[in-house]
Amino acid sequence: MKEPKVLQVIENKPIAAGIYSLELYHHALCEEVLPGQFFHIKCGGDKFPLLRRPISLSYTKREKGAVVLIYRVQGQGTEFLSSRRPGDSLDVLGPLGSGFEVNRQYERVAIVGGGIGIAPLVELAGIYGDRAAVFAGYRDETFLLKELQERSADVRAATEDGSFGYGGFVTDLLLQYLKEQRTDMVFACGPKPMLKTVAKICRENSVGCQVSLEERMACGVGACLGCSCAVNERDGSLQYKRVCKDGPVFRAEEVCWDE
Amino acid sequence: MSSVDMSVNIAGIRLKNPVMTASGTFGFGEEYGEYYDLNRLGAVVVKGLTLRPRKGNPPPRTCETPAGMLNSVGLQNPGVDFFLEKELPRLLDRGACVIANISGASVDEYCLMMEKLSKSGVAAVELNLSCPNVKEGGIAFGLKPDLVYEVTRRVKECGQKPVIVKLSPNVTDIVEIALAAAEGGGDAVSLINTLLAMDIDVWSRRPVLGNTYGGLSGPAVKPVALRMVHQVAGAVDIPVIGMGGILDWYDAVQFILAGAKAVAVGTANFVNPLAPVEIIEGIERYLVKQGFTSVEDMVGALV
Ligand SMILES: Cc1cc2nc3c(=O)[nH]c(=O)nc-3n(C[C@H](O)[C@H](O)[C@H](O)COP(=O)(O)OP(=O)(O)OC[C@H]3O[C@@H](n4cnc5c(N)ncnc54)[C@H](O)[C@@H]3O)c2cc1C
Ligand SMILES: Cc1cc2nc3c(=O)[nH]c(=O)nc-3n(C[C@H](O)[C@H](O)[C@H](O)COP(=O)(O)O)c2cc1C
Ligand code: FES
Repeated sequence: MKEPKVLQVIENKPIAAGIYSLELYHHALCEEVLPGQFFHIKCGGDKFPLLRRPISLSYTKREKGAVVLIYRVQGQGTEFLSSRRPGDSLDVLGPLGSGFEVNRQYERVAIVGGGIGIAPLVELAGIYGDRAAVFAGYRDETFLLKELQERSADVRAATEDGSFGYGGFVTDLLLQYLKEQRTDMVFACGPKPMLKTVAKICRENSVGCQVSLEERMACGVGACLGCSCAVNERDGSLQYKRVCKDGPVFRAEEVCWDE
Repeated sequence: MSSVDMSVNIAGIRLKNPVMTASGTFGFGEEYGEYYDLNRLGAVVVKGLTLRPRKGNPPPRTCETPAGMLNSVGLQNPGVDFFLEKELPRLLDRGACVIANISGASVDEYCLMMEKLSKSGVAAVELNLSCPNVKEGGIAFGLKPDLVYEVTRRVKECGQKPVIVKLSPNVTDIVEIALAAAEGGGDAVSLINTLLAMDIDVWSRRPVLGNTYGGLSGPAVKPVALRMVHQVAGAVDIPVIGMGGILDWYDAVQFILAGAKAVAVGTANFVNPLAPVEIIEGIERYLVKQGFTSVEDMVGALV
């Protein structure tokens, strides 16, 4: 039987303005969790805030038996998370969701993250290593670049204000890359407008694409139908699927981007 | 601990304990069935069913509000036939006592669903009367006593299963509605459904929910729910199933003291998947401590 887990905080420290790295200890979990999966975390000591908050796995530290989550302080829930200290514990459900479909035969993949959406891609970058070109897009301040570079030799950064790397959108870099390099699959996570552009670029260049979506959640396990996103069925009709259970990773071509 | 009798008799069915799940918060039991055996529950009330499959409302469908949440799922469900064919057998295999929750756009739709469910292994049928009645120009059945009476009476005629009438709190006088359900032949009433509500994002100046309005549930509604359960239990002779904001055994005991013979756990499932079983254990401990020998002795035992 599954059960809520009580995880110990090993470390919880800021890595950029308003962005934290949270390391949680759990040996079994560390072996079990897949890239793209998330945890549903109780973010309050007492009853409130009421609902759990979904945060993705960023990467595992197998030697330590730890999972690392990277989160941006957004409101009450993540504010609470940022106040946790080493030795404190957290009530966690998971790992939840389907995760990325990892095909180890792929010779070349592109991994594209925008903002905090870079976080859920780090473990995946580790799986593909030097077969992955990693594209990280930031507004201004960069983060997680070292962790990505430790996993792949080909990490390319873009900042919208031009302060580091390419000045502009990360999707420009992806487009350029796909034109020059045969690629088996693109994996993407980030704000919806960015994902929509990634999906369009992949479609136009006939490359498969998997995107990790976000939606407001209640249960996180598939029971409430509260986290639905619109997908196109084969027969052309529109259906709602659960981001928490059927996703959060979807094939880009099934997502209904105009909803 | 085994010295107390946890079973209750509701609408002619014997539940092993007074704790059930609230419709729409528990799917068809598959997800939470991974956390504990479903046969530990008094009953599993499944996601609201309609005659034909429904896609539901556009996202976002949920958001948190102070001490509660809004939802505008819009009755997304695979339809009653799919339920009977695929979901119900699985639930029954797991030994669950199953209550079907149904919504219709007309009295005939409620009757058709009742006929289908009558031939199945469900223990009872709960009527969700909060959805708009197409024939009456979109007025929800649950808002008018004469419609509640009419739909209850007709559904009772269409099948043999016990009928639980679920009451909407979005009315001026809930007692009047409960009396109409009893008069129509309802075997029990359950309350409360969600309170019609909305939330607004001031930065985008838009409603947060894709559907603009949604239903408020969770601890925020508990005092309202308790008051309504207390009023209704004092007015009708049929059993009352209480719900609305129950997070733990303490909340559940409050409802039973207010007059509910059973309780349903909804939003709490999202917070703690083990909430229903922890509530069962907590009620049992409370009974022992207070010297009750059965739950039924505690029903309405306000002094
Ligand atoms: C599958 C999934 C994985 C995620 N992974 C990460 C991650 O690795 N790192 C990270 O920083 N953030 C991640 N998010 C977003 C994160 O869940 C929200 O930032 C967080 O819930 C905000 O909570 P809050 O109380 O701090 O903010 P508030 O704005 O006060 O939250 C209010 C309510 O809105 C919900 N909400 C607000 N923003 C979002 C959002 N973007 N997505 C879903 N629900 C939201 C909250 O859960 C809460 O119920 C993920 C979201 C999903 C759906
Ligand atoms: C996500 C969600 C979906 C719901 N769907 C239904 C439904 O399909 N039919 C129904 O009768 N009530 C539905 N309800 C109402 C609950 O069954 C219950 O009456 C209400 O939430 C109050 O209880 P709670 O505060 O414990 O959640 C739903 C509630 C929620 C939160
Ligand atoms: S959050 Fe409940 S179904 Fe996804």
